[in-house]
Amino acid sequence: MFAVMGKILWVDLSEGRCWEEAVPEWVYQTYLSGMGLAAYTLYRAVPAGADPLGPENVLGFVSGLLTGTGSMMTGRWMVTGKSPLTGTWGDANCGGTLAPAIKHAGYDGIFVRGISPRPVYLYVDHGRAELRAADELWGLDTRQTEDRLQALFTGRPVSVACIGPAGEKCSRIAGISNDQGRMAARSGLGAVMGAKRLKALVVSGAFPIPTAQPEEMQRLTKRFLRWANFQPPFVNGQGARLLGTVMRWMPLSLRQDGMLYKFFLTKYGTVGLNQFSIETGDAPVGNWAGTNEDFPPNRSETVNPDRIREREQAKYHCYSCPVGCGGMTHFAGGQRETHKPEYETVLALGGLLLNQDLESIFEANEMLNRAGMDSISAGGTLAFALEAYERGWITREDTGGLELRWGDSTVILELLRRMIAREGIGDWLADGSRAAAERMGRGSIEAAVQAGGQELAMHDGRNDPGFALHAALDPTPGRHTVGAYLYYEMFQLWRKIPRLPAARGPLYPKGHKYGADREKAVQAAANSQFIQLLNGAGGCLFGAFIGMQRMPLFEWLNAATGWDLDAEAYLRIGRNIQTARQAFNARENLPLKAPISPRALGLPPQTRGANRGRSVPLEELASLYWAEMGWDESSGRPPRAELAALGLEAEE
Amino acid sequence: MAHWISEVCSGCGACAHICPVGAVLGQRREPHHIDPMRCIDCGACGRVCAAGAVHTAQDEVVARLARAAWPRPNFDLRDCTACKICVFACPVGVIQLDAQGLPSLTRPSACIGCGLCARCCPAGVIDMAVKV
Repeated sequence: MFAVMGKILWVDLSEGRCWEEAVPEWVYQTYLSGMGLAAYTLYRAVPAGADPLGPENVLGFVSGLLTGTGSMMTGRWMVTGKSPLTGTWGDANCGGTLAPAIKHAGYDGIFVRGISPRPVYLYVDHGRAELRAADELWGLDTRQTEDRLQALFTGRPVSVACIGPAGEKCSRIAGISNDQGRMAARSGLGAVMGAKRLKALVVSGAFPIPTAQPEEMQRLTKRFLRWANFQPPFVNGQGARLLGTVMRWMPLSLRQDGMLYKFFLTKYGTVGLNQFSIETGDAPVGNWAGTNEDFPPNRSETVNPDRIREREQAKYHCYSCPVGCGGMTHFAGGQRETHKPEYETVLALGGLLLNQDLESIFEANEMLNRAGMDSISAGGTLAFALEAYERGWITREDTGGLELRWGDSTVILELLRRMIAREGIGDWLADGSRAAAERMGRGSIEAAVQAGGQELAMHDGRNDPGFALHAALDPTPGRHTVGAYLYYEMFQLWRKIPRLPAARGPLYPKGHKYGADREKAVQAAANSQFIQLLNGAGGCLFGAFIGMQRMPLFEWLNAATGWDLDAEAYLRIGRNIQTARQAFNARENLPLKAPISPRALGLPPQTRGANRGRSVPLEELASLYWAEMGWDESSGRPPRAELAALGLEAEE
Repeated sequence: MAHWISEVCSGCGACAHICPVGAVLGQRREPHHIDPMRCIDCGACGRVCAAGAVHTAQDEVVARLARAAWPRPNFDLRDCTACKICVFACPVGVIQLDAQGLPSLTRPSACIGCGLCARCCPAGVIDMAVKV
């Protein structure tokens, strides 16, 4: 078969053994590769009730079907496993360089089970794999680890994915770092790697990735590049903020074309939206209890994208990306270097904590990248701690003498240091806000803003209820990259799939977003299916935002594989992937609507600020969404017959 | 698909030495063979074979070529998108990125002239040419 390597690598750390498994073609036809391959593999390999930090859990590192095929913005890798943070299906998605390395090494995925008796790293080179001692790497941070490993291998480039001290200490908000600080951060899967005593993966190879129609691939890519490279003169940071303010004032919503977002990304990266999002009410403030009025332009000026861009030395491109939304930046007076903090990081450590000290945000970003800890969950947990102190749930005695104050960057950095080291109060916080609230008691769970245990990202469901819907209903709760009403507008799927309704526009009443009707469920189901398809292909969400009439995802898939499927058929593959992820949770008998913080749903609604009076009708939306996905509309369980048809369960 | 070595092989070992993926196997002074599961069809083995023993997957003999006559990548960076695809396509790791993320050939003498970088470049900015 074209475009895939046709096999996966298995590693059993308990036995110290590596072996290959051929993947039948029907699996690719049903699940594509990437997330789909992982969902199919883990459903079969991880028994129900497995301890996420135990030997039975399987950590899967997968590349996408389109990775390395001459397509662009399709170099994402995903790590998957049962999440120790949420107890559900867990995954995290990252750019960097691991995805092409996995494929050039001869595999579509690397799956790891068991627990090693001592620290090891996995070395995979062009079809050969072995476990090597990592005693000397244990205790090093992610950048030190990668530097040491890269120095061992000259010649063909190797890609390193590793954990830092947070993963080693099994912090349930630990992630996995690639290419010196690109993070597969979410779901706490760095803790799974730490529990397995797997310090790193070092992957290299030179296998070509043949496609069915290479000339067509190149033609499609050249056409896409015209859009991806198009960049007119664009607003400055102040203009971006004003745009947000005007959109807040307007009684109407503007249907958004993702090219606008691409312009932001090319110029600034994700931080281009910092003040814009605060102004529109997209970014939560003060642990979701505040509003844009608590972080007005004169305070949020500190995260003006121009202030960040002026520290950028060079743009950073993930593999196969022409946009380059990342960057290498300097801080500490030019003395130190870090990957440019992302929008999520800046606002989770900025507005969410009412922190105006940009230098501290750069410092915390580098601390988190080196520790291998998720900046969204870390920011959410720090915000929880600040509120807990303010409301008297913890005292100075609990904090080891620290007086926790909103916006006090010195205290915030010290608290973060203790979280990473699991020191004193930091040990309470190292497993996320829900775990900390359970330990703290006194009703403090009210201030832990999370879904199913995972802290919510910096996109407020009270502004776009799609974020809340997907955060609660996706098999990996608490994620922001799994769907939103805004995403539906930008994907423009209706241009390829006529049965899907066009998003309203160009202007529509804002109140329309806060209802619950079938149209929203249709859009949400299409989002889920499409995003999982994208994850099967290894596609970048930001690429898909450019719109399906401009990013030839379906056409690339056909030219790469030699298949002749229409967009509707590909969306069915996305649905298969989402069903397999959902089935993983259903088998665990977990609630398929994750418990989500009422505060994030606007229950009760805020009385001031951009999102005043708004709430999310999640109950109604859940039934509608499940029905649209073809699952039981009261429980969300996929029908058993479907699981049999997908090869997940035996026929009855 | 893979290259293969015929019985005229003298066992000099030049092919095994140049192969970037360790696909050529055999004892010195004995006929060598290529592991088809590891071969990437770069053709480097054939270009160094004095005996004319290396054949392509299409059964054509690969002609020996003086190293100076091997094509090397030339980068026209005006249209380069800094996507790194060439870096990961290169089987010998001779393409590296500068501080701005743009590629260049860093060790021309180690380049095996396979052209995989040019074939993979989606922007068509790499031209394989013999330096005169």
